This record gives sequence, structure tokens and C-alpha cells, in this order.
Amino acid sequence: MTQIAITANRAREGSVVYLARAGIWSKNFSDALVIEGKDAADQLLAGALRDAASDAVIGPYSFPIKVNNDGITVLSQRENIRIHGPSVQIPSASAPARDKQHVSI
Amino acid sequence: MPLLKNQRFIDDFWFQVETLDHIPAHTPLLVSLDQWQQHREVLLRHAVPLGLRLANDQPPELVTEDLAHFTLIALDFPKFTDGRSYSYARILREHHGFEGEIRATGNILRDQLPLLQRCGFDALVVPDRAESEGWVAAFSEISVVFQPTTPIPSPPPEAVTPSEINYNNIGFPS
Amino acid sequence: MYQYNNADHQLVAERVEQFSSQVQRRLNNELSEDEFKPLRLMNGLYLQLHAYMLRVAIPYGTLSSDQLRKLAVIAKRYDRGYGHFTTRQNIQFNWLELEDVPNVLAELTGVEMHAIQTSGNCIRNVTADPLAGVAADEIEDARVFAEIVRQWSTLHPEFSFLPRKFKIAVSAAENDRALLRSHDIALRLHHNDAGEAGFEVMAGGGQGRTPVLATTLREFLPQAGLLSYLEAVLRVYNQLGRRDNLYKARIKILVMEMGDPAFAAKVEEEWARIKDGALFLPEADIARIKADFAPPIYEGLDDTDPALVADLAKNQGFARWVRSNIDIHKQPGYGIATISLKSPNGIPGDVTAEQMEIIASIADQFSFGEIRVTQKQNLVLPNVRKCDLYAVWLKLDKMDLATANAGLLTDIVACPGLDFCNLANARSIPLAQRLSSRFRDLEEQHDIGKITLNISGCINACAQHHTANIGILGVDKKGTEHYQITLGGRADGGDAIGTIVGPAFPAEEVDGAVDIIISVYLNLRQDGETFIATVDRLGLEPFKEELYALA
Repeated sequence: MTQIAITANRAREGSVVYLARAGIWSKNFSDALVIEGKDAADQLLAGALRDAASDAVIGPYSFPIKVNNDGITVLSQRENIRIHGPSVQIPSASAPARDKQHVSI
Repeated sequence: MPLLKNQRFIDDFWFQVETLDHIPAHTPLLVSLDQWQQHREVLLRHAVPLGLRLANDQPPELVTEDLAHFTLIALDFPKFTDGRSYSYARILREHHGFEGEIRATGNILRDQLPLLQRCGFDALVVPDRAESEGWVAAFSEISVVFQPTTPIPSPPPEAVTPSEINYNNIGFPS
Repeated sequence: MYQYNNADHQLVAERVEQFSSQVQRRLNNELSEDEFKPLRLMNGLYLQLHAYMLRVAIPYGTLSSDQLRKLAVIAKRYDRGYGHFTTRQNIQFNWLELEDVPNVLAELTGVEMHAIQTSGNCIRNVTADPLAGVAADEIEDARVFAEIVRQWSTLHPEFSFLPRKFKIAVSAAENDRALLRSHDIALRLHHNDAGEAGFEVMAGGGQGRTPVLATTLREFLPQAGLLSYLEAVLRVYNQLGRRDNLYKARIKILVMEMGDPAFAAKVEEEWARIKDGALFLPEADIARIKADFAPPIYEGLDDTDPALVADLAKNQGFARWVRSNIDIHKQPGYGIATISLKSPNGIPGDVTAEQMEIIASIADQFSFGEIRVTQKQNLVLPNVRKCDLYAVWLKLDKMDLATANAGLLTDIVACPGLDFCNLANARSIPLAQRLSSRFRDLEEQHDIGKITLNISGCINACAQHHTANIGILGVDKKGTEHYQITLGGRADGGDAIGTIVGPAFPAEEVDGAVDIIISVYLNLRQDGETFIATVDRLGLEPFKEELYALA
């Protein structure tokens, strides 16, 4: 059975988030809910789209993942970049001057 | 549905014709292009103000010869992102000198109101009055414009308003 | 440069307030994302892979030093300390949060900048010859007309919900530095036989999925008809452009489907009705805008500067920089200096806040406070005295801004690609960096000569690879990044769309493929011809043979 996760961007600041369980989103990929099979994924995605309708998140979609002993991994470069950020060093990799509160959902 | 006309909410007295079997007497009639083309003579015999509603793939050039028969043109926006009718309104006002009401129907965002007005729309059907209370304010949010604004003419000449109907309630600008 | 008058200030201020209230309504869930999206797009705010991206308009690529300093402040205060200059002369900030955007926009209004219409299905930033006003080969300053078009197109009520985006470019020079024929509409100011200056109007160009070069819509449009004619074009497009299919909604598709003569006739028919109306452009109005673009007070200098000659002799690094990065200025004794944003380890088009501040102060000291943004993602100091070039170079060099590769192989144009962009299929920046490093030797680059190499991360072709001598398109082949190469594109006055050489290369092979292409050129060129001349003369066969070992 294919294993699937669901991701979106949080509306407030655009961060990448992963569906951790129904209605709960996390910025950490390691929290992502592992969904077994397309049918279950479609159901949860429908729920996620309702979250999108209430506009906490934008543009949810599902993507395949792989589960192994160490945890879960992604299969595409795009999802890899969404987890880790750009693969290139940005000119001055500093956080902005404004107070950055780490908010976990 | 509520009608926002000249920046005020008024009642809409136009009757949108679905079939020609059920037409109330002495009531302004809003017809589609098809209905007009098929039943033109019948409609004219009713001797009431006539309005024409165009779909947004029905440009004004389809009806330019008949514009004199209408005191209302309703232009539709099936999606607010489809901006064809902005051009249709300007063409009606500026090329054809249409002086009746041009109203926008369909899916419209509050923030589009000033744009509609500047293209010659003077009325707008709003889906829900309660949600639209704040809409009137939208007209004054942008006061500076870089392009000439299409003027909205004053009420149509008396010739097209039969005397037995009280048109004060329809809300032509006073 | 153009100075905002009260009307401009007020319009932008009102727009910022309007958008701020829209953001608030969005954050309070009074506006759904579906409703907010077109509004935020009209204010240049995209949601990208990791965060919101704001595209700030830099009309026709002209910046004052104050504006550049403000961009540095925004980069530091709200973003991650840098900005990215784009192929349409705008700047992008990649890491903004939604609730900061109204503040960013408010800060920008203080220096007469905004993000209006930098995205969405409306008329976008009007781009122009980046060297307008100073280039030796121009007949007039193209920015005068770009500014007139900008005003007309700003919050135009009829054309705010077009079938698709609409891009206009303006040039008034013999050499096209504005990629005119890749635009929906392009205006080329030139003299007719009677010696009058008017516009060739070109229509229906574009890159993307269906690259096509714009064709001539009208050979000569008198200046007085500039706005009424554009209005006619847009009115035809707004009514007839396709709305059923996102990928067939640009004006280029309409022009192709109607055919040039039918399209032109429709435009002329509309134009005939409106040309003498409110949009007739009197000479006095043009003169008024021209006054805003009056050249600075230049010194009367000899064109040959002995100090420069001496500096060239004593510093080889400086000499190389002058050789590639200085363009001929129309004013004797002055030069146009390109600040290459293509250092070997950098990201094409990216500038840190610190670099922006230094460039602003150099501009104040040496370039009448003005900077330009080019379609090649570089910056320009348009007005440097030749005797000051050495001092400028020293300052730029300290900040890694003096890479001497303008117009050469490592002056690569690359879109942000999969590292940043939601639409991308493959990464473009790592490839640009690898190639930049591989070919960093300047003597070799000068030997190779003038060449363009552009890398797009998806079929939308934001890096304009179709009109590059070597165009590279990143594609996703079965989940891995592959790169398809085209050769023979050009946008240097001769216009051509490149041809695909063959199957795409996996990421680990594409660098070698570029190497092979350069080698083939070096082996087969004649009489000092440029790369593109060799490709034009020989076609693709010799390259294909080596690339795919077909021999």
C-alpha cells in the first residue's frame, strides 16, 4: 500500500506545514501523519480542504512518502526542499530583525 | 435581490422573464438576448420599459441597432475574474451613447465596485444585503485615478417611461 | 527621474490602505483565500514554496539611491537580509509574513515605490531599455513613454481582470536590450521616412509553453496615438482573449488564432473610434513627462581620460572589468558601468542588504544617485565619469560586486527555480552556480566571447531561455531533475527562438553537455565569429553529433 502524507502552507506566514492528525498541522515533517492508501488519503485531504476553506492553511495536497526504520522520508526533490529549505546558500542566511516567536501548532 | 444603485440600496422593480407565458402586466421586463430575438414584437407590444440581460460572451455589437428600446442593460459576471463586461459597459456608454441603467450581476467582489462605476455601471445586484452593508464604502477607497472615467448619464428621456407607472420607486437618480 | 506628484502619492497611499484592510479581513477570515488571492496578486504577493514572496515594482528598471537604501532596510527588517532582481526589472523578497506586508508596503510608499500590478491578470510592470537615457545608440529616452504607459495602465478599471497577464516593453534604441519581441506588446520608437519619431507596435510575443516572437501590428504609430492605440489593443484582447483555458489565454494565442491581418483590423477599427478622444496625447503632455527625465548636469569632458588609461595599465583585474562591464555613454567622458550580480558562488540576481547600501552610496558619489536594473538580473550605474571608474571598481570589488563577466558565459540568467518557486519542476540555481564555477576563468570567457545562457526551472520560462544562445529548461523526468538544452535563441536585435538539441540530460550530465557545446563552437568558429553566429552558420548538427555521440 502506498504511504502518503499531506502538506500545505499556513496562511499567516506561509510556512510549510504537515497534517499531523485531522485538523492539526505541524511545521515538522517528522510529525506528519502517515496515511495508508489513497482512499484514506483522499478522505483526509477532503478534511484538509475544509481547513483551507476556513483558511488556516492554503493549498493542501497529498504526496507519497516512504517509511523505514529511521522514520519517514520524501521521494521528490520538491518535498525535500519544502522540508529543508532551499538547497542553495542564500546570501545572508539570517532571520529577520523582527521578533521571531517559534510557534508550533 | 437587493440592488445597489448610485451608491444606495434600493428595491429592484424589474421582472426577470423566464418564460413568456408568465409575464405580469405593467411591469418593467428584463429579457435575455434569445428572448428578445425570438419575441421582439410581443415584448414591444407590452409597452413597458424593457431591459436586456447579456451573458458575458454576448458583446454589445450584437444588439446595437436595438439599444433604443432598452432602459436597462444587465451585464453578467459569472466569475469575478472574468472582466469582459467592463469593456462591454464602456462600449455601451461611449460608442453607443447608451443612457439607461447598466447593472452588474453575478459574482462581484466589493473591491471591484469603484472599477465598475468608472466603466459606466450605475447599479449592481448584490447577493446578500447584510453582507453588503459595507460595500458602499468601497466606492470612496480610491479617489485618485489616472484614466478618464466613463460618465454615467442622468435619467433616460421621458419617451420610454409610460405614464401609468410610478418610476420614482425604481431609483433613477434624482 | 520621474518624481511622484500628489496624485501618485495619494493613489499609492490609498492602495496600500485598501490592501492593508484586505489583509486584515483575510487574517480575520472575513475574506476567503479564493477571494483574497486575486487581490493579493494585484498587489504582487505570491505564495511560494516556503513563504510569501512580494514582487516590488521598479518601473522601467530605474532606482534612486534612496529607494535602494529602503529596499535594504526592508530586506533586513522583514526578510532574510537580501533581495532578488528579476528579468522584468523588479525586485522580489522571498521570506515575508502576511501580516508584515502592509508595513512593508507603507515603508515603500515613503520612497514612492509599490507592488501594484506586479502579478495577476492585469497590465504588469512596463519594462524598458535598461540603458535608456544614457545609451549612445538611442534616439530618445524610452522611459518617458514607459512612464506615460505606466500611468495609463495603473488601476485601469477596464483592464484589471484580463484573460491573463499583460506585459509591455519600450525601447528607443538601435539595439534591443528590452527583449521587445518576447512581449505581449512592444513599442519601438524610431524615425519614419519623414524623420518623425513614432512607434513600431509589435504584438503577440511571449516565452512560456508556446514561445513566439511578436509580429509587427503597426509599422508607425504617431506619438499622439500611443495611449488610445494601446487602449484599443487591450479592449480587443479583453473581449476576445480566451477565458476557457489558462494556457491559451495570452494575447499571443489570440493573434495566432485570428491571424495578424484580422487582429490588426479589429484593433484599427476600435482605434478609429477613440483616437481623437480623451486619450489623445498632446505634445505638451509628453514634454511635461520628458522634463522629469532631463539628463543630469554633465561636466564637459574629453572622451579619452588619461587617468583611466593609466588605471587600465596598472591593474589587470580592473582592465578586465572595463573590457566587459562598461558600455558606451552618449556623453563624452562618461561610462555606463554594469554591476554583475553573477559572482561564481552567488545566486544570480541576489543582492544583500549590505551590498545594496554600498551600491546606493557609490551611486550617490559617482552616478548622480541613480541605479538601473537590467533584464539580465544585473544592476547598472548609468552615469560614471571615466576618471572615477577605478574608484568605483575598487569599492565594488570589496563587496564581491565586480565580477568582470557582463555579456560573457557566466553572466547567466536563472530563475529562482525549484529552490523557491511553486511552479518549478527542477532547480536552476545550483546548475547556474556549477556552470559559473566551471567557466570562471575570465581569459577563457573572453576567448569564448559574447554569449547568453539562460536557465528556467519550468516551462513558464521566466528566465527567458527560449531567446538565449544556450537555453536550458529544467524538467521532471520520472521524479528526477533533467535539463533540456536549446541552441540558437537570441534577443539582441536579431530575434530567434532556440531549437531543442535532443533528449534532456540528467543533472549529473548537463554541465558536461554545456562543456561539449562550447568546445564544438571553439573548434568550428571562423573569423572571430560569436557563438550565435557559428550556430546560425552551421545549424545544430555539429552540436548534436557531439552531444549525443551520433557521429
